[in-house]
Amino acid sequence: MGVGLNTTLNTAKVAMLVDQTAISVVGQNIANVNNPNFTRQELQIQAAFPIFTTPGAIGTGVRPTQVIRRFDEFLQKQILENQTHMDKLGVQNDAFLRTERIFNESDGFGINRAMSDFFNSFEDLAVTPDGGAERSNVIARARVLSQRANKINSDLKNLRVDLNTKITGGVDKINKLTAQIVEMNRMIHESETTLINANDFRDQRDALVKELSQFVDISSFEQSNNEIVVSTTSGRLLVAGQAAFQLKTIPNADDPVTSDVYWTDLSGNRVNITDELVGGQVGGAIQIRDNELLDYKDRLDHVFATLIREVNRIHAGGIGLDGSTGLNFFNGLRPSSTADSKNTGTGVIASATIIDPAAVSVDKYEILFASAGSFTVNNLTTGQTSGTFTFTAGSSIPFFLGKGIDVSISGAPAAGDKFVVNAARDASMLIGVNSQLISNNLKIAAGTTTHFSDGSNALSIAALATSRLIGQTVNAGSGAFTLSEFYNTLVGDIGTATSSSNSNLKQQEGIQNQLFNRREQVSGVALDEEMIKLIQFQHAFGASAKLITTVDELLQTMLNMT
Amino acid sequence: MPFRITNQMMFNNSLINIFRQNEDMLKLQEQLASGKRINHPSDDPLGTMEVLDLRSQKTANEQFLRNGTGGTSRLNQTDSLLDRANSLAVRGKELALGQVGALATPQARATAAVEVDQLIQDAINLGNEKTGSRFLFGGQDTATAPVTSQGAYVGSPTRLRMNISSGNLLDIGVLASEFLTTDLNPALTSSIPVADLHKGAGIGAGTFSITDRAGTTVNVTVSAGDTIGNVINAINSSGANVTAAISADGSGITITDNNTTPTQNLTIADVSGTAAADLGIAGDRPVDSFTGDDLDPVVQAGTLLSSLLGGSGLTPGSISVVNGATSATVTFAGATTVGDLINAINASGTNVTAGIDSTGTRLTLTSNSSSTVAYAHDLGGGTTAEVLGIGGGRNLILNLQRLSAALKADDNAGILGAIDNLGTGTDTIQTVRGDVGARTNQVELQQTTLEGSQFDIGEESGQIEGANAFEVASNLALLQSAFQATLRSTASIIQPTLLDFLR
Repeated sequence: MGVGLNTTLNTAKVAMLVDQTAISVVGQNIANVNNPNFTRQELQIQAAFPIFTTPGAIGTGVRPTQVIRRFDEFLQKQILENQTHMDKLGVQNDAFLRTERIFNESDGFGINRAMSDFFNSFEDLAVTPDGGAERSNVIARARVLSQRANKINSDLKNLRVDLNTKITGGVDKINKLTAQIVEMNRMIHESETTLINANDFRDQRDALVKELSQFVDISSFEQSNNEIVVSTTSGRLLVAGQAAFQLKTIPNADDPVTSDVYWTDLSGNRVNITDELVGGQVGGAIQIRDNELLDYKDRLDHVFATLIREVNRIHAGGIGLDGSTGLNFFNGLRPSSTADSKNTGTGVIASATIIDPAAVSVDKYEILFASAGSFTVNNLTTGQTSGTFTFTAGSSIPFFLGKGIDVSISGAPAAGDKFVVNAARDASMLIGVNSQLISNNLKIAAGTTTHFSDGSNALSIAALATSRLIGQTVNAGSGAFTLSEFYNTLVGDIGTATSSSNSNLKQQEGIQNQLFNRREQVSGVALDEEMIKLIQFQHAFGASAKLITTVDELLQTMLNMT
Repeated sequence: MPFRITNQMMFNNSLINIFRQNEDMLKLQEQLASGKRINHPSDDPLGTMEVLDLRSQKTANEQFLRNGTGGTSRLNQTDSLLDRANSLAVRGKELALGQVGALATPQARATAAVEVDQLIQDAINLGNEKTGSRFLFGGQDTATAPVTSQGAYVGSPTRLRMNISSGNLLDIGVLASEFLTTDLNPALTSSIPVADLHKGAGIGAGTFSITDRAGTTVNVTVSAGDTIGNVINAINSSGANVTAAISADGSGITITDNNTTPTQNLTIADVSGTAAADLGIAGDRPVDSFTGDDLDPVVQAGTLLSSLLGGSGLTPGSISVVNGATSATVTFAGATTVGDLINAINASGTNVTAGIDSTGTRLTLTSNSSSTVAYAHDLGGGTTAEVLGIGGGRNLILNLQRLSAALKADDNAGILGAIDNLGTGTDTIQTVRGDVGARTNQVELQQTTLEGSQFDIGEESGQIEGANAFEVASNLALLQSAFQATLRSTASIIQPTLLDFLR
């Protein structure tokens, strides 16, 4: 008993079909050679069930089993993590490069120069206190300095606005992507329940997840029903099977140029997750917007608040050529006090006014309620705790009275509530020359007497240039830095941050490139390889055809025998 | 299985390499174009900080150099004017020497007196010399003529000063009261009547309000007959939490607020009259303590000797008073007030009357006889007569005036005295010139130091931020050849595929 010729014919037919299928898989691979999200596919085949006969089992040809993707799950996870990190660094690097240009000192016409020129103009005034040209020059230099400060302040603000646009746009994109992932989940689920590998849908879904990881740091896993669950790395669900959780941006009440990101749970409760997002373009933009850029702005404000306070203190103690006294040189500081947007109590800042402009502390303070009845004051500028105090609603806080600011909180704050009091806030934006002095420069108090050429007050102001004003207790003159040293350190720090952001990004790009190459090695399409396979299956197809011809001839022979 | 090299891998790697080299070349090109190694803070953050610190120093030094140049020219101008003052004194002395002795006739003396009168006018004009529109010898009062037509000093007692390097203040002016005339310049004391303030113009009586920094408002009334002590006591006992006192340098009244938690400005305002404004304390000030305007009291008989010369005090030494043939030595034993000095001179038995000049800045000494001219000169190297403005040393104008009077009165003793006093006058002028010269040297020395340090700063910042053109250019050439090699190899790797060989 042997195998019939018809069986052999069938073997050849199936083999030709398999070869055709294999060639069409090769065709799919070649067609997608430049699709970065494509995963190389392969037709898997196995020998067909044999027929048991004498002398033994005789094969009945080949059967296709499935089309598989050459895919490395672990590698894909690494790529996602790296992508998130790289996009974060990318958005931050852009922001650092812009910051660096905002604080551009390399042409020699930045704040550093304007500050030197400002103090020099007082040296000139001290030499010729009654000189009209010298007085005009003082005003002109002060205005240039103010304008430079205003410009940096508004440039920094614009940068934060642009980052915010990136954040709100990114959140919109995240919502679209999560909706698309939900759709792909549905399609993959439906296809694969019929036991067909949805390779191309999976490629698409992987591409969507990868794109999502460009915006925010996520983690994902596949459930047994072939749907994936995506959440932020802090654990907020974004996609659960066929449900998407939408994010929303809402402008922050204290800092209107910024928006907070909210996550809505199944029961419709909004949770502020702004601080939780640390990766991708959105996380990166949030981090630099709320940390580095705010820090730079605070430090710039600190310089100018100190300048305003000190120059005004000395100027107001002098006498103008027209006999005027007590005038500020720069417009005075305005204290800012804000309640944290996450506060749960009903406490509000009832008042915050500067009562002693000559001695006001320009440090940034945080009032942190330990309980409803007591609070701790932390000096955020020095990073030290200033003490714990008993809370009395509506009455001036004695600690701040001693710092020259009248602050009172009314209502009932709850434990954990925070308030920030900062007399220096936006000093770099507020700084401007007192308009009375601009309209009549005789009011510049160059002296402390009405003698026409008394330049002693101008000398005192010029001496501020080399006084260690920053980091001192008020008026002690024994701080750590002069104004320009403190500012120069700020520029240096921005340079350091930019330079390390540059090299981090470069390094990350290198890693990303390696990972890409490793993915390509597993999943990428190599044309030469596909050509070889094409020829391989072409020959197999030819051989099967030859088999049919041969069987045909055998059959002819048999038929002709009768 | 060998390492699979896919098409995307090859293209991707080629692109990355080309971009990276392009970026490096752009950076070098930027360095070559700007000539600087540091074009952004991130190029070298530490270097950036150093360069910025150096630039601050450099700009400050530029200012001090400018100050120094201005100061030197001011001092040089002063020196040439002092030279002129010296020739006036020498000419006066020559004229006096020519008219001394029995041979000189009254007519010749009268003729000489005409020339001396011209010298007096020259000396007064010299004292009112200007640079631009500003009086040179009036100290901080540059807007008003410091020397009156009588030769009294009405300028400020404080010289002009400027920084010639950081914190190095140098006086760049000379006062007319140092070589043409004198200024007793009494400091404030509590016994001084308010009527003597402001060179004797006094202050307007009236009521002013003081609002301390805690917000307490009180009124204080000053009447025309009050002394400074009365005013200070009235403020201190007014109920406002402030303390008034005479300022440390004796120029004005210092008001100090004693509130630990200020809630507002320290405000002093006139309610009726002009007392607060005249006392130099009116105003709305956000400060705890301030010193009001210079009150400039005049010398009165009751003025304490210890308060003279801006509070440095005058310890009187012996002087000789000469009037015609009579002369006497006055020792001023036990004198404590200006009145004591006047009384001692008047009691010297030389038929003279001492008094206080109408400007309240010096004393006067006149002979009771119209035929003689009284003068005084110091004994034993003292400066009492000179400082009081009754003869010798710095009083060039007065000495010339006495010579003129003696010539006109045909008073031989007076002419002899003038020769003596003009002689000490030239000594004084030489001393002042020496002082000016020393200050000029000081400025020039400082300028040299500053220029040296400017050079060093330029050198140092050049080393930190400057690009070495040769190094950058050769690096660029290296990169260029590497870049060409990359392009060539990319071209040869990317082109061939199996397709080229399948037919």
